Amino acid sequence: MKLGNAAAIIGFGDAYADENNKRDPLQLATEATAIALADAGIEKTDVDTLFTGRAPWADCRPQWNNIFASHLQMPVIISSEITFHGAGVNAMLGFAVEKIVTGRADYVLCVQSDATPLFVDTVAMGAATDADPQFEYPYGPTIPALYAQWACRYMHEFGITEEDLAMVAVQHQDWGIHHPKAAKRRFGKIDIETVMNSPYIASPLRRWMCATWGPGGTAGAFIVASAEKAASARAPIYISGYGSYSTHEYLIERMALRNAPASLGPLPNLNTTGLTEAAAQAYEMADMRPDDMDMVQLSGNFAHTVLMEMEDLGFAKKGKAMDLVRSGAMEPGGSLPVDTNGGWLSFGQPGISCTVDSIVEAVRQLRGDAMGLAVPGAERAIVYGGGGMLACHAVSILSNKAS
Amino acid sequence: MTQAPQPAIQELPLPQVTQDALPYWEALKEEKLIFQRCTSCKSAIFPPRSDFCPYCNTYGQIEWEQSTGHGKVYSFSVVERPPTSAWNDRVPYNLGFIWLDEDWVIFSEIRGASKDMAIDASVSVEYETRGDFVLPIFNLRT
Repeated sequence: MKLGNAAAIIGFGDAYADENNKRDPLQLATEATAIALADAGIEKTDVDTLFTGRAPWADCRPQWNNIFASHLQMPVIISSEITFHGAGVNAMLGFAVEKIVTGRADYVLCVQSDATPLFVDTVAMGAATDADPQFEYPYGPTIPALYAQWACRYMHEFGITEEDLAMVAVQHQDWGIHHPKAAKRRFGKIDIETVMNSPYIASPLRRWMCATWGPGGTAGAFIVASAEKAASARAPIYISGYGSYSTHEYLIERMALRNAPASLGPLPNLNTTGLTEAAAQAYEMADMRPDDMDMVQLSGNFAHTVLMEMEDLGFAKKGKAMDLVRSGAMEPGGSLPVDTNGGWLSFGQPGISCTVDSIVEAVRQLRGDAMGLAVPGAERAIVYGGGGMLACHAVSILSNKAS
Repeated sequence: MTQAPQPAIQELPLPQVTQDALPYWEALKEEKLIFQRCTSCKSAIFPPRSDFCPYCNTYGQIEWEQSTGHGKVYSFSVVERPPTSAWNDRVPYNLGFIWLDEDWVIFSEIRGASKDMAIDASVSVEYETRGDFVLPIFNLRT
């Protein structure tokens, strides 16, 4: 069954909140959905399938998918949360394609929102959610302290320095200062010294090497329909390929992993992720290679994960992504634009909607409608949604061309 | 709108114990660090789990074994900003993965000067009582 380009995003909407415009996840998702429906030129009653990611951190009620559907009074054939952390938000698109190709759905609404910094103690909740409650949490880890375990090994094994990580943060800020919704935009341009002078959160990670909890809230909604329907849409974005992989939940279990595909390297390790497998599936479905991509949207919540993800997506050999950073390719004006809204490092992470922000950025760029710096002529984007402690991985390859 | 559950911040957290790990926590009360081993494939197993070996898929061949408590630092981080105010007077503290001599890995606090923390540094276990539990923690061996 041919899945690549068999379906497309025929309408999308996004919505934003901040301290002066405090709005909760239901409100944000509703606004984004209303815009998406109008953009697709369909009615709410045309939607027959609803996918969300997991419940927003700022509204943790179980079966949030049904809560949202009820909020719109929108009965559907099936409504489900696609949850393997933030990766599920990206994987929604693949599930939508499969529903459409198999004839089980005509219009699939994929939506996610969150507003964590406006409603929740993010530092405390993050650690309580993502650390093993039996073998990790009693020792007092934070999310940065868990991700720092990867940084510690990655830097040790490949000779990466804190100044290298600082350069990654600087380049993300160079994109972020141009995006009106980016959480760190207000700090303006920074340099390596700015990053190196920021305090350690959890060594080797300094504050500027960590994503911030912001902007206040975001939402993205996507209407997915068949390629036939997309042919008459105003600006369809085709889902050319997708893939996913999941290796663990808690990091202590990742260290116990021994049976995994060869692409993860000799185990145990903390330098390569299941993204290798997810990316390979997506490239194969799309019949494309890394060289075919015009831009990349990552899940770079920390500076070192940007490097690891570029490698696992196939843009550099293991341990060599820093060469790509130094070359300037990933900067504004570079040959391979990465995280063009500032990424999670500078745009920020409003909660579980952080992956939807990456999809929104790709869709806006491919439609020639960027809110920040535009990448002129971009036709293909690869979007990575990662979740948990580098546990869950989903990749989408999006294109504004039908073939 | 329902607020997310907020963790209590007044006290250091206690482990949420699974049934598979009950022997581990009981042994710690006698200051013994134990882990599992599959007698079929000889693999060390941790965290503890039910009788199905995750490495050779044999059922009913898993036994408990006492560790020497000696190992090496695999990775670490010095935590400067703690998760809750309960940790404020402990900052900075070192957290990391420790590769035990019997070829299994544990996550723990590593006590020692932050400047002395290094990959492959030798550590040995000691014990900290917290509520009704005893937690294994590790000291840098100098």
